Amino acid sequence: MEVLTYQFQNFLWIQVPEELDQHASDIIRKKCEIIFLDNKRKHVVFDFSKTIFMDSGGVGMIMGRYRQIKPRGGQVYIYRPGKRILRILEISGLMRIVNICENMEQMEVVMERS
Amino acid sequence: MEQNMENRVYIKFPAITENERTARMMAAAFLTGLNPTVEEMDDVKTAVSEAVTNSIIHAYEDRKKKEECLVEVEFIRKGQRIEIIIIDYGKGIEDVKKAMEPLYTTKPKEERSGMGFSFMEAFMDELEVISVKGEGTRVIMKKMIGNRKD
Repeated sequence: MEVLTYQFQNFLWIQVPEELDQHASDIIRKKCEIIFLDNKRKHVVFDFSKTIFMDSGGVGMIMGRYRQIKPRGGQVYIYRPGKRILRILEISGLMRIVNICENMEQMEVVMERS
Repeated sequence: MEQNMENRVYIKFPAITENERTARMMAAAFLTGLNPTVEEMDDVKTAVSEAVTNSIIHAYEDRKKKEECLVEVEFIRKGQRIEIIIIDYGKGIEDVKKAMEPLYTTKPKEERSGMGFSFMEAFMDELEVISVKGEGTRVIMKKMIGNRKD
């Protein structure tokens, strides 16, 4: 499984796979470990626009990224989450610590501000 | 649609993370015959994924040859009622009550949320966990599918 990521300004953009389970979460976590080594990225955007499934494996992984970037003032953004994903974010409590961006216009405002 | 259909499907697979998805797909295939709503389908797939992931992550962590470590899932249908049993023959859970506490995990460093059992309880009607240390664990989940008249 290949997880695409993009780095620009102080953002890390992660294209979340169709199904975010423990298997995919492990891959994302390992990739982030390497990316965060140079300390250039402050904020993380999880692009959920192609994601149709998420379980508590994904919850743990997002929580882990949040804990990593929070000390440097970083924010976690959830881009275009579907209905099911929003439900999981709600039940897990993640909704309280992440920022939802429903479209690219909202995302651009965030990136200009940061 | 046969409302009083009975069926039983049994699958067995190695305890590797690739098979979290395999189990979900099998659950979906089995559930289709009960005419579930999209939400019911998502709920069952998520609950199965949680239980299977627990077996894959925890049960055989002390064993070397992972390919020989198996997880079994039994899907049982009785009319509109499903029962799914996830079985492993791994190290077992020492304190089931503690394990089922929300947010409790034995692997915080590996970024486990500790929410697996909470999710299973939220998405299924009934949940039962039976475990014997050193022998294995059995997770039994039940749900009534669709009370609609089509």
